[in-house]
Amino acid sequence: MKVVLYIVSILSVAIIISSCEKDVILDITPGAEDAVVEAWIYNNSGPLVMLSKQFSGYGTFNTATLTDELNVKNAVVLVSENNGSPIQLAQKSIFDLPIDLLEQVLDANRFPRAAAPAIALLSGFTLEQQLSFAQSTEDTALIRLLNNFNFYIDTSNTIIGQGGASYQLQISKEDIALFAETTMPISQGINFLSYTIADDNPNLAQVKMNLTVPNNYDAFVLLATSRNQDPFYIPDYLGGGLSDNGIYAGSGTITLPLLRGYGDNEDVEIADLGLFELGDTVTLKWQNIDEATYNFWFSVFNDGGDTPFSTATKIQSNVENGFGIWAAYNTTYTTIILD
Amino acid sequence: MLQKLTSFFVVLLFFCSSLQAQNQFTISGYLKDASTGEDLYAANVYVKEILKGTTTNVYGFYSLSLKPGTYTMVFSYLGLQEVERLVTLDKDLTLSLELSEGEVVTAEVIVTGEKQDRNVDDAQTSVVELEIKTVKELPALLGEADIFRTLQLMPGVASAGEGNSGLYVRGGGPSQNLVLLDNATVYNPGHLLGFFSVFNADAIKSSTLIKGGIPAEYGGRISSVLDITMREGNTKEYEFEGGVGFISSRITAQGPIIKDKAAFIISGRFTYLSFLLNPLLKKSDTPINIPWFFDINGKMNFKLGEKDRLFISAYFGRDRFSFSSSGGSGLSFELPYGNATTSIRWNHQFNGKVFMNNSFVFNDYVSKIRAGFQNNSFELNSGIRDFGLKGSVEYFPKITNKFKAGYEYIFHQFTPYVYEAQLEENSFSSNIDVKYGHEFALFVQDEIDATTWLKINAGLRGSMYASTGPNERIYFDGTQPVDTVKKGAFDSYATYFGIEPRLNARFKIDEETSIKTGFNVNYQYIHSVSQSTTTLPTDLWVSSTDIVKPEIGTQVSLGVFRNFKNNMYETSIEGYYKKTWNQVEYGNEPVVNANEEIEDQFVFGTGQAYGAEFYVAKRRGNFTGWIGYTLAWTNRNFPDIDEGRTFYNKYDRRHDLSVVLQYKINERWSLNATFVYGSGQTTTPVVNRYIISGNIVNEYGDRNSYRLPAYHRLDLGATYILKDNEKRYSDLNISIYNLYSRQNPYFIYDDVNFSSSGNVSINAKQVSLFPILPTVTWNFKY
Repeated sequence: MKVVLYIVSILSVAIIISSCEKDVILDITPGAEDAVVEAWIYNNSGPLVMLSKQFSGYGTFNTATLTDELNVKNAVVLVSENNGSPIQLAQKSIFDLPIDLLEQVLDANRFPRAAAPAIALLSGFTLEQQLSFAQSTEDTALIRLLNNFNFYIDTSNTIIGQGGASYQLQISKEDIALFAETTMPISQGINFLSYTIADDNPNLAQVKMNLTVPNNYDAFVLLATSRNQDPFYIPDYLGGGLSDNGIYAGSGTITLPLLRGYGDNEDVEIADLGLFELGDTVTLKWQNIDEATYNFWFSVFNDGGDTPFSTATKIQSNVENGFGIWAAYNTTYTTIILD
Repeated sequence: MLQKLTSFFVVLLFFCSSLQAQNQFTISGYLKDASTGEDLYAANVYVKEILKGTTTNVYGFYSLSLKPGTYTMVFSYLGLQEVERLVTLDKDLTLSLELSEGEVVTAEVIVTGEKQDRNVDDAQTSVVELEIKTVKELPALLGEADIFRTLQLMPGVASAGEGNSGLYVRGGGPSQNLVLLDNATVYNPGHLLGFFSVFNADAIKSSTLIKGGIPAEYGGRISSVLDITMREGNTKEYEFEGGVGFISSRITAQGPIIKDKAAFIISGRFTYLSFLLNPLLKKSDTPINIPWFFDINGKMNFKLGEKDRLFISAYFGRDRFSFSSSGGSGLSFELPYGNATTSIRWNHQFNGKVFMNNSFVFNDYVSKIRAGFQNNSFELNSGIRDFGLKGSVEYFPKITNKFKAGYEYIFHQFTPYVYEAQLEENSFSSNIDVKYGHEFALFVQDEIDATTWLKINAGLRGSMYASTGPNERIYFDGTQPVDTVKKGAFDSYATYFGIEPRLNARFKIDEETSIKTGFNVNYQYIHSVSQSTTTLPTDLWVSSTDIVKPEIGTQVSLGVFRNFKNNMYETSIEGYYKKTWNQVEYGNEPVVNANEEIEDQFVFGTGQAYGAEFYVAKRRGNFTGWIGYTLAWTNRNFPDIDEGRTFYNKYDRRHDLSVVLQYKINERWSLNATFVYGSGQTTTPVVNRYIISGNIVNEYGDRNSYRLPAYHRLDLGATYILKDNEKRYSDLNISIYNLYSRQNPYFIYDDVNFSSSGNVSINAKQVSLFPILPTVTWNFKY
């Protein structure tokens, strides 16, 4: 059925390519701008919460400005582990994130990775010193980051992600009252990576994953790949980036292809789709996730819109009274050099 | 079983017949076309002295029981010469005739052909009898004359949008129409993702759409019946005909196997644009191939004696959409799908009053998806296969009475999405089993001329359905299997029964005016649930089970039918109300566990549709055509969709107008024009967005709560007859589709583009399919 959805998407694209298009103006009444949670906890790391709002309408938006304008500050954010005593998270700017959380934020493609050196440089300084630096370099993006966008983190280091635990999230501010729960699965699945040279092109390689799959159906994985020092991208096509265990359960140790993830602005040659170049250092980010997180990403990747070939998809959020996702990622990084 | 049932009905009818015999005699026979030997369906047989008559059935058979006496019998059919016979009826008689071609008629001459006032006189309401000649004359998309597209020009029948040949009849979906080709069911009757129907107009003899007041002989669907009969083949001489167009061609050959006793017809159609363009696309490294299709219709009929006939018909069609990359990835996929049907029918005439038909039917719809990447392959199969037996006995006890009774049994075999995958060295396959269903029905119906002004067609259908093994079914709670149930071939998961009353009544005000009403209750035991509005090969047919209950539909209609100027003008106004239960949809959240049954994704609700249809037609003269207008609403209510708020159906179209004009200039030239207007289709709008990990994520409003711009289009066509004599015929047909090149909305989507500078642009874009499209088709006949 998922392949059917992918095929339907290809058909939709084919229709779009071969038909006429024009810009139109739609008179749509926007809905209420509800709160959006993008929050996670990795194994051996603390929780990180971003809170924002929805936006509506059409036009051209600056991603950074939009992100800042939608950011919700000064909320009360509480996280507990296994329904234990909740810990209140502190509001911090990007410059005050510990290195592991900063890496996670940049991996999530929230901010351009090009900002990472500057961010790292300013880490550890006071806010006034960071602002002073940004103003002296006339870096408006940095200034905006410093002034506007905030994260909520556990500065007490009480809550640390571990497999088998459940994590509860509560957020409140004025008319916002959100609740979400997630479970971090144990780390399982990935053994190692290997590769073979592509059949029709000796400069390209097909990377493969050696896996040991569990016997139960309710095992879910989110994948992302990185080439060299590039960001991680999820190969959300042909079922490459997100998987349940329905097909593989009980198969023991197997080898599956690992498809390459692509950035939004990257030119993709269909002929070379999914392959890596010889000489690449390929890193796989393997994340064991729970069913709610799987459902969320599945609905995000498979929203084909309301066309003759598909119906609009309701994104499956685990956030009560809001949108977005509170996810627990048991993350393993595996690297191979294609020499 | 078949023999016992048939014998029971025959004995019953003989008993009834014998009671009448002492007062009346029967004249019966077959009417055929003299030039081809084809049976004439719905030909008129009229008795002047009593001002009453009858029509032939689909096999050309008629029967009239009259008191002894001398009668002037008039036999007529549209386009053929009327024949009169003086008959002395002092015993049962057989009178079979062949009607020859008629003379050219002008506007002033009344065509003594088909019964001109059938729309007023018949009890059947809500019916469209489509002339294949009309289908071929109208301007055609890409030169392909299409029955479905012509039906969409009738009131009460909407299309799903640009380039879609699906039929949405009085608010019902395509899968709720019973589509029959020579008694065999056709599933997913769309080529090229629904742009064309699977029916080759050259192979078709008659096409009847019943939108309401569905007679008891039809069952299994809740919206409408489209009953299509293939031509039988010329029993006199060999004939070849065909057409050559821009994207496809067709060829038909027919002729006698044994002159006047047996004949064949075979008709093929295929697209070739793909074969011309795909090599060029490959050279330019474009991976998408132009899709193609072909279909073949074949039929043989045999006269086994004076009272027996055998018909064997078959259809086979395939579509293929494919994509292949020549580079290192070896990425490929293809979508082959199509129908195959077979029907074997045996007619037997017991005597002048009793006519029997038994049919064996088979149909097979398959859909595959094959994908490949490097050393990996994936194949997904789905489909439905039926084996069926159908039989009926028609009894004509007297001129004012036609009785029909019969049975139907269908064995369904459902293949859900069954996959096989080869990923590197590993093989995987689905553990979802094939499903089985047994559908059985008995019906009786009687058409009675109760008085000079009241005609009733009343019937009752009793149906039964059992969903059985042999198979195994796993029940899930989320992703956790909680129960495994195994059933044998005679164990059922669920058994359902349906009582389906049917009624049509006609109240005649005068010779040109009548009021008709229709009522029907229908059960539908198999379902096709789509995530799209077009007939996709990926649409799946599923059985009623313990989870999926039979759909139930009930409809009532009332209309006034009035003709003018000796039936030159036909007019009607008809209103209807339809209510449906146990409607099936996918929920808004299609997350699929590969091992879960597809029915676990379904949600259930109710629907309703109501509206009024207005129709005016001019049927004779050099200038003919019709105007059809429908004002309609159709909506649904599902507790699991939009929190139970009622929403418009996808194909809710408030206003639907069709204007069809045909003008015969002279012996060689004729012009035709079609104008259509429809209210905008509904769509589900994006009301809000948010950002997750650099992705723009959409929040949608209520289902189908936004309306796209209206659809309208003008098509023009001209036909020039190049040659027309006894041996040869050829013409050139020029069509211009969408003359003023309106960019009608096919769908709207959000175009999201991220730039390297950190901007994201979100624009609403409307996709339109067909601009102005001229085509030329050469048609020939030898």
